[in-house]
Amino acid sequence: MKASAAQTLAAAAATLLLFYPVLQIILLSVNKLPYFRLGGDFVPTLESFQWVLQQPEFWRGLANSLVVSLSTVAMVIALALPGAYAFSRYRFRGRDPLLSFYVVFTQMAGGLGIAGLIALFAIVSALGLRNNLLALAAIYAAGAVPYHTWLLKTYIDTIPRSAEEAALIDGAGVGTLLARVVLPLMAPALAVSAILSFIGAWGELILANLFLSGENRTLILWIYSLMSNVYSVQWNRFAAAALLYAVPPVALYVVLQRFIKRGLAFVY
Amino acid sequence: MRPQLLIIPGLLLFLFFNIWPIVYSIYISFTNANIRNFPPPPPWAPEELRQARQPPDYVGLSNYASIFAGPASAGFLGAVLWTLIFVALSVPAKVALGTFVGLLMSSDKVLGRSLMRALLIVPWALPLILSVVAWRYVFDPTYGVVNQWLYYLGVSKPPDWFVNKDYAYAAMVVIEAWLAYPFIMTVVIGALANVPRAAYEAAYIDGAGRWTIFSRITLPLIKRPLIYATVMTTAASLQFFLVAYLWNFIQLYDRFVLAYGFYWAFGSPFREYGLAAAVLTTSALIISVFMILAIRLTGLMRGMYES
Repeated sequence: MKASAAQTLAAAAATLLLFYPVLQIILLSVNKLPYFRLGGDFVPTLESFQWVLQQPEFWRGLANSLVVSLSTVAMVIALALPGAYAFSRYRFRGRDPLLSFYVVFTQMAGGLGIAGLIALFAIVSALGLRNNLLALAAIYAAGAVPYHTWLLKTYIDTIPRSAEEAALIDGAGVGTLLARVVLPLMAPALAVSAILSFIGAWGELILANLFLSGENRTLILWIYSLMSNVYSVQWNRFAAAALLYAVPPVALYVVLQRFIKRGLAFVY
Repeated sequence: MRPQLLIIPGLLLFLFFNIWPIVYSIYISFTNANIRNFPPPPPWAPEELRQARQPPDYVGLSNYASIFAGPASAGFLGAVLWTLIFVALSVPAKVALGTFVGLLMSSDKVLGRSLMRALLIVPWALPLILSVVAWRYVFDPTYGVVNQWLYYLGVSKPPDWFVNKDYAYAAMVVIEAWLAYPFIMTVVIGALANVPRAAYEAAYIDGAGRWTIFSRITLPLIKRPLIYATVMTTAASLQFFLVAYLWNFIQLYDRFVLAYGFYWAFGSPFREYGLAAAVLTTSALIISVFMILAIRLTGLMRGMYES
C-alpha cells in the first residue's frame, strides 16, 4: 500500500504534540534565560548543566542513589532467581495459589504499598533502620520479589530441561545446577530483571523521603527539594538537574529495548 | 533438597516488608495511633521514654465510623467520589489516545513510523519525576505553553493550574492520559503486528470500506488485549497518587483516596495514623475487590499456570 499524506500528517502532528513537553524541557535546560517560550528568545548554553555539576548535593545524591539501586539489584536477583527456578521446574503444594498471588500483588503493588506504609514506618522505626541505605534497598527488593520471580520463571519455562537432566544424572546438586547450567542460559533475562529493578529503585520517592535524611538523601530527593523551591531555583537549572537525574534510567531503558526486540517480549 | 526452600528467602522478605505491614496497618486502623503514641520508640530507647510513650489504645470501629459517618466522612467520601470521577475521565482518555496512536503507528501508510514510535514511547521510559517537571512547565501559570495559548485565544486571565483545585485536578487527567498512552499504544501495536497483510488486502479487493475493515478485522484482533490493558490501566487510575503528591499536594490530597490517607498520616501536622490507616485499608479493599472482579470477568489469569 502506498503512503497516505493525511495519515502521515496526522501521525506527525500527534507525535509532535505528545513529545512537546519533553522537547521543551530539553530546550529549557540549554537555554541561557531561566525560561523558554514558544517563539521567544533562545540562546543555547550549557551553563545550567555546569551549575548542576557544581552542586555537592548532586554528587552526594548520585552516590547514595547508586548504592541503593545497585544493592536492590543484587538482592532482587539473589531472592527471585531461586524462587523462579523452583516455580518453573517443580510441582509442589501451594505452587499455583502462591504464583497467582504474586501476579495479582504485582498489579496492586502501588496501592497496597501505600496502604502498608504506616505500619512499615513503625516497623522500620522500631528496628532502628531509618536512614539506612541498605535497609531501604531491602524494602525495595522485598516489594520486587513477586514481579521478578514471575518474570524469571516465565523465562526459565522456555529453557529446555535436557541440559539440567544431564547435569542431574552426573550427580550435581541444585546449587551447582543453578550456577553452572541455568545461570549462563539466563543472562538476557537476568539483565532485564537487573535493569527493571535498578530503574524502580532509582525512581522511588515516597519511602526514600520518609526514611532518609541528611547525608543519606538520594538524588531523587534532591530533585524533589528543588521542585518544592521552584520559585527560588531557576527553571533552566531545575530542568538540567531533572534531565541529568534521568540519564541512567533512560539509558538502561534503551538497552532494555534491545532485549525486548531479541524476543524477550514478556516485559511490559 | 525440597524445592520450596528456594522460594522461602524471597517469600519471607516479601511477607515481612509488604504483607506484614498491611496486616499491621489493618490493626492500626482499630487504634487511636497518633503523633503522641506512634511510632513506638526503638528497643534501645531509654526506659523513661518508653514509659512516657505508651502504645496506642484499641478503639474498635471508631476510625471507620469517623470516615463513613463522622467528622472525616465528608473528606473521605468526597475523595472516593473524586477518585471514581478520575477513573471515569482518565481511563477513556488514555485508552482512546493510546488506541488512536497505536492504530496510526500500525498503518503501512504512515511514513517515518520507527522514529515516531521511538518518540511516542518516551513518556514510558522517563522517570516519573522528570515527566512531572516537564508538565509543571507546560502548565506554568506564567511561562507555560498552555496559558500562553489560552492568552492568545483571548482568555485574558488564564487559570492557575496549581493553586486552583479544579484546574489542578483537570491537569491530573491530562497528565495521566499522557503517562499511560504508551502502554495502550504498545498493546495495540503488538496485537496488530501479527495480522496477515493478506487479510487486509483481500478485504480491500472485495471492496470493503474503511469502517468495515476496522470493525471486522482490526477490532476483533485488538479487542482482548485492549480489554486486558484497560483493566490494568483502570487499576492504575484507582491507585493514582504520586503525580498529585508531586503537583500540589495541599490542593489535591482530598481528591484521591490514597492521597487522602497519606495526608492524614504523613502530610498534615495532625498525624492521625489510626484514621489514616482506616482510610488506606478501605482504599486497598476497594482496589482489591476491583482487581478480583476484573480478573474473574475477563479471565485474565487463564493459561497462567502452564509452564
